Amino acid sequence: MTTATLDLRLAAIAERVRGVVGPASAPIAAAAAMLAATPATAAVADEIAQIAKAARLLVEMVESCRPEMGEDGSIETTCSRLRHDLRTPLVALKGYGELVREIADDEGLETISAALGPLLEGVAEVMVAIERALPAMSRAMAAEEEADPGGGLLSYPTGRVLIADDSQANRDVLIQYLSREGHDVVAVADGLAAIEAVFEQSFDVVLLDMIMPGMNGDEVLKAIKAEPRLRPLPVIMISALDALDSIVRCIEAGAEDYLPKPFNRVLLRARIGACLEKKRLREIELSYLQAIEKELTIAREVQRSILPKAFPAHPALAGHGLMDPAREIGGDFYDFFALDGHRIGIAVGDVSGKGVPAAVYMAMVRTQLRATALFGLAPDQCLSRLNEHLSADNAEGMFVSLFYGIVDCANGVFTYANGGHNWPILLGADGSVHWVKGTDDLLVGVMSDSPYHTADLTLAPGDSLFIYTDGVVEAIDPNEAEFGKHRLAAVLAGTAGAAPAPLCGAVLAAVRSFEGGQPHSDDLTCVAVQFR
Amino acid sequence: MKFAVARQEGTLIVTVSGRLSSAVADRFKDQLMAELDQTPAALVVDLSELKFITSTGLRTLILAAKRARGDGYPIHLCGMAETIHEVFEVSGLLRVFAVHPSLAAGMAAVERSTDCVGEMR
Repeated sequence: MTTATLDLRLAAIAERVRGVVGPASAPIAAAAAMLAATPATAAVADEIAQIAKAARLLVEMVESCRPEMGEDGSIETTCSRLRHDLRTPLVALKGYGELVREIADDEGLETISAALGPLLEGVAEVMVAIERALPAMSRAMAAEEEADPGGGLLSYPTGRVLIADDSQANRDVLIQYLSREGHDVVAVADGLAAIEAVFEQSFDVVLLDMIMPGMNGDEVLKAIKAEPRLRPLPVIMISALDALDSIVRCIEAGAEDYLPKPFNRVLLRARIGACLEKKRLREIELSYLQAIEKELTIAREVQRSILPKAFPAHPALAGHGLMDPAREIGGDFYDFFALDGHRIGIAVGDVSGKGVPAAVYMAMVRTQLRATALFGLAPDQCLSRLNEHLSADNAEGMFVSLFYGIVDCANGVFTYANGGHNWPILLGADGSVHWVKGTDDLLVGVMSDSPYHTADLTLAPGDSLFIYTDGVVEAIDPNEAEFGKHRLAAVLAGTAGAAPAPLCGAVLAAVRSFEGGQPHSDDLTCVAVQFR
Repeated sequence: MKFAVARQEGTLIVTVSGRLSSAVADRFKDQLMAELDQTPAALVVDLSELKFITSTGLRTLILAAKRARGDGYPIHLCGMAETIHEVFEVSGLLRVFAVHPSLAAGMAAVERSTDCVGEMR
C-alpha cells in the first residue's frame, strides 16, 4: 500500500469515528453537564467531577481523532488501538456512573439518579457505535481470506452454530466464514432473539457478543445456563480485550471460552472445533456406557433365571437360598433339587472373574452339575466329572469353587464334596458353631485328573447348615476391614434355631450394616438348610 | 498392586505386593506372562507383601503353573501371610504349587532341585 493510500484510509477512519461515535457521545456530554449543574452533596462531588472529566475527554478524542499508522504497518492495529483508546473514558464513565447511581439511590438524591440513566445508556450506545465505526471483522477477515483460502492443517468436526452479534458486518462475515468451514449457521442481532433461538432450535455451539443493546451477552448466558436442558450447550463469548472482568464473570457463569475481537481466524476455528469435538466424544462415551449397562443387565438376567425358584418340599428339611448380585456380576450361583423321595442335593458355587464371561460359565457349570447329579452319583464323582469337562478346553483358565452335598432326609446324613470352596458352617440348635472342613480338594476346572473326595456328617434335629460364598466374608467396611469368618460365626450363633429364610436374612443384614452403605464389589450368596 | 522382577542365574524372581484385586489382576497377568516369554529355569514368586488376592489373581498363578508345566520348570510360592495361605489351602491350590515360608527357603529349594517339575500332571 502506498503512503497516499494509507493516509486516505486513515483519514476515512477518522471521518467515521467523528461521524458515528460523535453523535452517540453527545447525550453523554449533555448528561454530564446536567450532573455538574445539579447541587450535589459532598458524598458524590468527587465522582461527578470525574464523570465530567471523562465526558470531556471522550468528546475531545472523537473530535480530534487522528489515527496513526502503527509500527507493523497494519490498519488493523491502528483500529485496534483507536478502539482501545476511545473506550478508556467510557470505562471511567461507566464505573463512576454506576457508583454515583448507587449512592444517589441510597441517599434518595432523585435528580442525580434521574440524570444518570441517560448517561449510562449513552455509554452503551457509544460502545456500540465504536464497534460500528471501527469494525474489527470485515477488513481483517477479508484480508485473511485472500491470504489463507484453505481450511488449514487440522480438520475439525462441523455442527450448528448460533451467532448473536448486533453488528451486521460481524454477522455477515462470520456467517460466510463459518459456512465455508462446513458449519450450519444461524445469526441473530440481539439477546432476546438469541434466547428464542436456543430454546426453539438445537445448536451445537453459541457465539455470544458481550455487548448488545437491550440484553447483554452475559444475561443471555445466564438464561441459557439456568435451563437444565440447555446447560451442556457450549457458549463462547465474543468480547473486547479490555473487558477482562466481564469475561471472567462469564466463564464463572458457565461460558466455555471467549474469543477476542478482532477475530483471529485460526483461534476461531480451533475454539469452535474444540467445543464440537468435546460434544462428539461425550456422545460416544454415553453410548458406550449404555452398551456396557445393557450387557450387565443381560448377565444379571442370565444369573437370575438360573437360580432355583423354591426349595424342594420335604417335611424333614427346610431350606432357603439368597443371592445379592454385585453391579458387575460375580458369577455366584446356588442350586437345590430333589434326587428322589428322601434325598435333596444342594450346591453353592463361585466362578472366577466377573461380568458376562463369569455369568456364562456359571450357567454352564450349574447345568452340567445338575445333569450329573440327577443320575444319583456321589458328590465326589459329580465334581470329578464336572472337573474333567471344564479342564478340557480351558485356554482362559477359568474355574469354579464348588460345594455340593446331598441330605438324606430319612436319617439326617449329609454327604458332601468340596472343590476349593469356603468351609460351610454347621450351626447347632444350641448355638454351637463348627466349620465343615472338607478335604480341601482343588477348585473345579483347573486341571484334569484332580482327585475329589466325599465326606459326611450327621445332622441332629434343629441343626442348620450354612453355605456361602466369598462375597460374605470378604465384604469390607469403610476402613477396608473384612467381615471375616469369625464375625459370620458370631452372627450365626446369635440366630441359632431360626428358620433358613430369617437366618439368611440376618446374615445379609449384618453384612449390609457392616459395609456402611458402600455397594459390594462381589456377589453375596448364602444357602441355609435346617433339619427338623 | 506392585510388581517387581529380578533374574538370578536363570531363575525369575517375581515380587507381588499390595492388593491383587480383580481390577489389577489383568495387569498382573499381562506383566507376568510377558516375563515368562523368556523361559526361566525356575519361577519364584515372593508373596510376603501380598495382602489380598481374588480369584482372578489365583487364575493368573494357575495359568503360570500350566505354562511352567508345559515348558518344564518349577514354580515356588514364598512367604504367604496367614490369610493368603488360607485362601490357597481352602482352594486346594497348596497341592499345585510348591509353597515355602520365606523367599530364602524358596531360593534354597530351587538350588536343591535340579529337575523337579512339581506335582502337576
